[in-house]
Amino acid sequence: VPVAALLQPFSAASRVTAARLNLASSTFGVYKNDTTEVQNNATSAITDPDLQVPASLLTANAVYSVNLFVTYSGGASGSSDLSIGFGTPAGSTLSLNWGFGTAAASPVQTLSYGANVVAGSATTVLWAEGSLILGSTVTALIVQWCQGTSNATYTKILPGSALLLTRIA
Amino acid sequence: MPASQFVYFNTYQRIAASKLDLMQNTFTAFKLASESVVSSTTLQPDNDLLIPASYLVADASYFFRGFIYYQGGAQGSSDINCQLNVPSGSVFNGVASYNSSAGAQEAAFPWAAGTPQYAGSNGAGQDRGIVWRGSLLMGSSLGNGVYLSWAQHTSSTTATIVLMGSSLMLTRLS
Repeated sequence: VPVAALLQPFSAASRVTAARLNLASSTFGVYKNDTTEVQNNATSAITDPDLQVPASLLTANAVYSVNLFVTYSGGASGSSDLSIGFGTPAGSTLSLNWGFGTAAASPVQTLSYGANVVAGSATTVLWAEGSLILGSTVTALIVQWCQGTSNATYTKILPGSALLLTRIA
Repeated sequence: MPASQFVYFNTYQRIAASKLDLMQNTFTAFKLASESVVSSTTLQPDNDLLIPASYLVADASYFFRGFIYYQGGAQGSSDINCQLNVPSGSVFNGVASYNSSAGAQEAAFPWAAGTPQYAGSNGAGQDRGIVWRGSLLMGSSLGNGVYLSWAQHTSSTTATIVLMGSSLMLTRLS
């Protein structure tokens, strides 16, 4: 993995190539301006229309630091909730640490390593941080979610949620 | 979906100032020296944890990362009270992981801006940390930038100290 390629500083008389500039421009992300909602759906995860990084911004075999912040709402904690995870390119490895409230009730909190979590409706904010190692296949990195328990009250991911990637290798 | 701030150069493309500015999309306030407060619950701006208005852009959106590394007196009878200050008309949403004043480990609790939030200290010389994440949508006002104010939550003669290494970071998203 060409870690050094990202860490090399420019020096006097260095040639400023497009490739070097592109490596320096390695932090990007999306901010969610709109509400997305589902009801009566605890089984079919939807792809959030905003919280996704298109393939055109990703590079095969690169490594990224991943930061996700989600603000959401839903029905009664324990009987609605938010089930959330990522959809990743084939052949990639996504390692995450999640911070979220459980369905039991606020202020009971938990931390979890893993691909997906079910967050209770009482706390309504969560975060995830980790890394994404891409293989040779590059498709979009997407946030996918549905309700933890099917409920007629809408579960919503709200404006202000955001996804941030920084290329580190 | 707002446009990403990702900048891409093609070979032989002109290096415009506007593109270079977009590349500089992460601003950090880093604490190089520890700072103490004794026997005071009056919030005061931190000496270092300030991202000035001149770094911000009206109507832009940012990913926020904060790390507050601190010490203080006995848990529940000293602690730290923190307030993130953002420009009027902006919208901040945040979540924090920290130890409560009762010692509970809170993995994800809403921490808003403009309102004091407190976390437990654990006795003199004992380090604790607050990990704070969120987003900021600016309005038209840049105000006084984004900065942290803090004090003791309960007045104590044992110093509450925000330690060197604490930081605030904003990364522009759109």
